[in-house]
Amino acid sequence: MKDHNVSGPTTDGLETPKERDGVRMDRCSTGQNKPAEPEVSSADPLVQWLHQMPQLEAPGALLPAVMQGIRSVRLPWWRRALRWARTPRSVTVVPLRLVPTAAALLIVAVVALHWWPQDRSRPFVAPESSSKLPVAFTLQLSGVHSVAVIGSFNEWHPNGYEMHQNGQNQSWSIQLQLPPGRYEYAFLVDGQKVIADPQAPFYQDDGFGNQNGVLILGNHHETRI
Amino acid sequence: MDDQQAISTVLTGEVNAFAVLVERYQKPIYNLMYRMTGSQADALDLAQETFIKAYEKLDRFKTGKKFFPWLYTIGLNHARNFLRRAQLEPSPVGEDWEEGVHQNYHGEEEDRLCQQLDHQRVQRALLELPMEYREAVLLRYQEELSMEDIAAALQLSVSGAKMRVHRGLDRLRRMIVR
Repeated sequence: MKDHNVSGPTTDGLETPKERDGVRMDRCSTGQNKPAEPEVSSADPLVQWLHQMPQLEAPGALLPAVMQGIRSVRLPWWRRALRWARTPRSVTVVPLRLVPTAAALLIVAVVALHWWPQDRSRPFVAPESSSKLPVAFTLQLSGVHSVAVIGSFNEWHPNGYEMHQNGQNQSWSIQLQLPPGRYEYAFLVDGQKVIADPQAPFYQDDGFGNQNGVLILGNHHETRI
Repeated sequence: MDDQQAISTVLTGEVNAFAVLVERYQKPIYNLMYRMTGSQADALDLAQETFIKAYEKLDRFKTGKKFFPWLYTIGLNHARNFLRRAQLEPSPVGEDWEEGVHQNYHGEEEDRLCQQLDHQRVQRALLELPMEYREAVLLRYQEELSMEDIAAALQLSVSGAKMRVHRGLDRLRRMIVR
């Protein structure tokens, strides 16, 4: 952009560009015979004239009036807060002064980890117990070749947990000994399809759009369902 | 202090830094308002209000953009609103602009007469040019803005700005020779 501070005012209040006398239009010509192009040559007399066109000098009262005006402007609090928040700021850091802060943060982190309830991080692990309880899983299902029970008690592995078919009523069943606790489980049909127990007392979403049955064994009233 | 530094300083609460921007751009904004209204009194008021509006909106100014096209857009919109409210058309300017052609030029008398004729003719044609073409031409050849900056100031695409400048200059040329 042209430097607006280059030329000073003239006595008639009009600026005279300093190069005005150095570049003159052709004698009584406005360059009308020159073909128009998107980017016009700076040698075009018309362009030269536009470069030299005198401009009015801004009145001396403008600057004081603007400054007085903006000093009286009281922006709403949210605009001031937004302006403050958007303004880049420099932050000076003395590394040695960060040591106490880092130490305090470390202590807080250690304490938080120590007191963090463990059952939140491992919600489906059954509590350790020496006494086991008998559990019978049954499923009424015909027209399939195999059914296994899988769940949090066997890390969702079907091996060793295949259910036996009762030929008379086409039901599948298995007896297990499990420690008291809370378990999620489902049935694996033909080694591929997982279905929820239609007889389960409770259900919980598995996070993938399916539901698992929930089994609570023993006197675990405090256990989350 | 460049524009970005001045803006950052203003935004930190140092209001006086805004004077840097006013001093730098008061002339083109004042001239814009004078071209739009034809009145020096209105031009002074509108230029003042334009700068105050810019101050109020300064926190919305995007870092990395150029300040002058942004300011020019505010000024153009403000002048249009003023004319709409006053139900005025952009006014041809008064005698002040013609004073510029009565200055003493070096050279022969014939040259001087030709120059005066040329200047009067071009200046009148320029002021008769529709506002959108006139501002595009002046931003390009008087303020020497890039096409990108003209596009930003006039809220056009770059190709639209090129076309506006090209057509404006073409119309100006045809108006002069008619």
